Amino acid sequence: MSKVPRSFRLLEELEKGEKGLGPESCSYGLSDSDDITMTKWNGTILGPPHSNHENRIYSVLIECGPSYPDEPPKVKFVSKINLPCVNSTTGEVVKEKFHTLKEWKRSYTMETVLLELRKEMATPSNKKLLQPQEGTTFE
Amino acid sequence: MGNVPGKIDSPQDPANRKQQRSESLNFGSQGPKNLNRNRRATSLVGNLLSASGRARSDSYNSANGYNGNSPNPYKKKSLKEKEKLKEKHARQLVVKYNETVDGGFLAPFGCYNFDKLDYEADIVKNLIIERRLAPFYTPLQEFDQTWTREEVIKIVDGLPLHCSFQQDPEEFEGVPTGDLADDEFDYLLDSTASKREQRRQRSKISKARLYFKRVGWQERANERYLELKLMNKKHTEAKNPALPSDDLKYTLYKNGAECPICFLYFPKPLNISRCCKQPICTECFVQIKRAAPHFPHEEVDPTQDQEPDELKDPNLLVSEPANCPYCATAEFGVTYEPRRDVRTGINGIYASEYKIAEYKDREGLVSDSSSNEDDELVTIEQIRRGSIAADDPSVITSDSIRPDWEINLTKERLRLARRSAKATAIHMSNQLIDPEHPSRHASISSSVGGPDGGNSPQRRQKTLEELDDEMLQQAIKLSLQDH
Amino acid sequence: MAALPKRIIKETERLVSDPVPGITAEPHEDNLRYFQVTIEGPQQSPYENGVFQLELFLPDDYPMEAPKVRFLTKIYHPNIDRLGRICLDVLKNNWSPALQIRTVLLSVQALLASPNPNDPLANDVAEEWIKHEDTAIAKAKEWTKLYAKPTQDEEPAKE
Repeated sequence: MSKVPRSFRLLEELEKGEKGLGPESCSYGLSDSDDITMTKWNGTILGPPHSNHENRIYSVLIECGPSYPDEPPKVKFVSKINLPCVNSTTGEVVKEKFHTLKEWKRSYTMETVLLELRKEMATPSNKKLLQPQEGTTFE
Repeated sequence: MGNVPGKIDSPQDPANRKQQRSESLNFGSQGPKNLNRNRRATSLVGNLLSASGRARSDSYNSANGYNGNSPNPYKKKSLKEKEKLKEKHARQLVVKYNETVDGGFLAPFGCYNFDKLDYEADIVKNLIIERRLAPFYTPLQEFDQTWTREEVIKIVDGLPLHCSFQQDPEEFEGVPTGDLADDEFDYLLDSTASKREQRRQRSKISKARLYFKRVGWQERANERYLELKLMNKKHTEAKNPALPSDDLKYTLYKNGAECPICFLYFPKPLNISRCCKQPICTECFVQIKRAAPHFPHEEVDPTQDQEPDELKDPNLLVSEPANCPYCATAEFGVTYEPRRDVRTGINGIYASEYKIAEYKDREGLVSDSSSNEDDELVTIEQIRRGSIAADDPSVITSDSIRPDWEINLTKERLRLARRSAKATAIHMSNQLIDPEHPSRHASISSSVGGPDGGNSPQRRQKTLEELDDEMLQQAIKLSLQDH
Repeated sequence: MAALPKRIIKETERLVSDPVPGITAEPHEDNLRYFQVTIEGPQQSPYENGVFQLELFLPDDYPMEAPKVRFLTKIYHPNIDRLGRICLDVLKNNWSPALQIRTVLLSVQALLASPNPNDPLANDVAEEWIKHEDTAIAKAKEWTKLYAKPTQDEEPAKE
C-alpha cells in the first residue's frame, strides 16, 4: 500500500466526518473550515451506556501536527471528565497512559482515537468513576 | 470516492451537528425535513415492496439467468459462505504454467490489487480459451528493438508467472491467521467481544488468511514452473509440452506493443476497443467496469438548498455501463483477433513444439529482420475497419465479464430502502405514540394539499392516520423480513 | 512498499523531459506518488500572472482511480473550495485511465480559464459569481495578486 500524504489523508477523514459515515457514537470536523493546513479539529464522544458517562456528550480538541499520521495527534478534553489517561487540570489525554496514542499506527485515524477513548470510559475500572458535573469545562 | 467530497459551507461544529442528528432521531425537528421524510416514505414503501417483489420473481426467472435450481442471488449469505466463495475465486486467479493459451495465461500477472480482480474468472478464462480475448501475457517493463534473438529468449525465460507479493503487508500486521490448512478459525476470535466486534475481527482475519493462502498457492505454482524450466534445460529430450519453445518466446515478444493504460509491453495483438480501435491489454481490460451505484450528479443552483443523498429515493440510484477509456463511448467492449500462427496450449499444439514457420530454412533472415512477420501482423490488425456495435457477437463488453452488476444495483437499492424504511418506522412510531408531538402537526397540516384541498381538515387527518398506520406496518414488516 | 508501477515511472520521466507549458510537477523524494505542482493562471482570466501551488497524489489504484489534486494557494473560484478541493469532472465521474497527470493538470488549468458556477463546490463564491459577476472577478483578481505570487517558491501562505 502506498503512503497517503498527510493532507489527502486528512481530507479523507474530513469527508467521512462530514458525511456522517462513521459510527453514531462519535463525530469530528474541522475547527476552522478556512484552515488549509487542517490542523485543528473538534470532536465529540457520546458517553457509553451503562456507565457514569451515559447520555453525556464530551467535546475534545484534536490537533493533527505536520507529521500526522506518522505521529499521533494531540488530544484534549474540553468537557470535564475524570479518566486516568486524562490530565485532571488541563484535560489533555496523556500519551503514555493511552495505548492508542502510545502505540500509534499510521492506519489509525481520529475516529480510532475517539472510539478508543469511548471504550476507555466503559472499562470496568473506569465506568463507575465519579464524574464532574455535566456541562463543566477545563480551562 | 474522489478527492472532492462534501461541501464545507455546512455548520462545522460537530457538537452542533451531533445535536441535529439526535434531534432528528428524537423527531424534534420541524419543517421541510419532516415533509421530506413523509413524502419520501410514501413512495419508498411502495417502491420497496415492488422492488423486492421484482427481485424475488427475478430469481426464479430463467430468462434472467436464474432458474428454480440456482441459488437466489438476493438471499443473504452467511459469512462462511462468503468466505468460501472468495477463496474459490482467489484459487482461480492463481497463474499456472500449464493453463496456457498462445503463450499467455488464464489468470492475471498481478499488476492490479487483488481486491480489484472482481470479474467473473470462469467467463474470462473461457473467453481466452476461445481466443475471443487476449490471454494474460506476462508483461515486460521495457522492450528494446535492438535486442538479439538470444537476448529476447533469455529475458522471456526469466519472467515469473506472477509479480512478487508484498512481504507481510502492514495491513495484516498483528492479525492472527492460525493454521491456514485448518478451515476453522473461530478460536482466533475474542469470544468476550461484542457480536459486531467479532464480525469485524472475523472479516479481518479471513482477509489476512486469504492473502497468505494466495501467496502460498502462487509460490507453489512458481516453484513447479521453475523446476520444470530447469529440467527442460538439462534434458533436451522429452520437454514439458506446456513450456514454450524458444521460437514461441521469440516470435511473441519480438512482435509486441505497449498497452496505453499500464505502459507495459505485451505480445501483439492486444485487444482492440470496439468503438475507436485502440489497443488494451487483458489485465487492464478486466479492471474497467461500471461505477458503483450512485445518485445521478446534477448541476445545481447554488442558491437553492440541496436534498442530501439519504433523503433521495433509492430507485433513483443508477449505474451506467462503463465508458471506453479512450473515446468515452458508452458500453465499453473489445474484440480480439488472435495470431493464427501461434495457436498453442489449450486447444492448440504443444507450446513446446511451436516452430516459427520456415524458421530453419531462413534463420538469418528472420532473426535479424522480422519485417515479414510484422507485415503479417499488420494485416491481421487491419481486418477490422470501422467500429462495431456493443451487441455484436464478437464484442466482449465490460458488463459481460461482470454479469452481476444488475443484482448489485438492486441489492444497493434494497439496502438504502431498508435503511430509510427503518428510520421512517421509528419516526412514525414516535408520532403515533405521542400525538402532541410537534412534528406530527407540522406534517399533517402541510403534507397533503393546500387549505383549498377540498377535504375537511378532520377527514384529512383521518386519512393521514390510516396512511401512517399502514406505512408503519409495512416498514416494520419489511425490516423484520430482512433480518 | 510495493514497487512503483511502470506507468508512474514513465509519466514522471515524460513530465520532466517534455514539460507542459505553464505547469510543473515534481515528485517528492520520499514519496514518488506525491507531486508538488505549480500552475500558471491562464491569460485573459482573472488568475492571469498568478502562479498557484498544488499537490497531487496518485492513489494505490491509479490509473484505475483518478489522481487526488488540491490547491495549496488560496484562490477565489466557484469550483474550488476554501480547503483547495477542486470540483472537476475528470477528477471524479469522468476520470478515465487513459488520462494522465499532464492531462489532469491541463484540465485544472482550463477550469481556471472557465469557471462553472452551476456546478459549485464553494457555494458562496458561486452565488456571488452568478449574481454579481464583476465583483466576483475583481475579487478573484485581487486574491491572485495577494496569494498567487510568482516569486513564492516555498509553502504558500498558511492562512
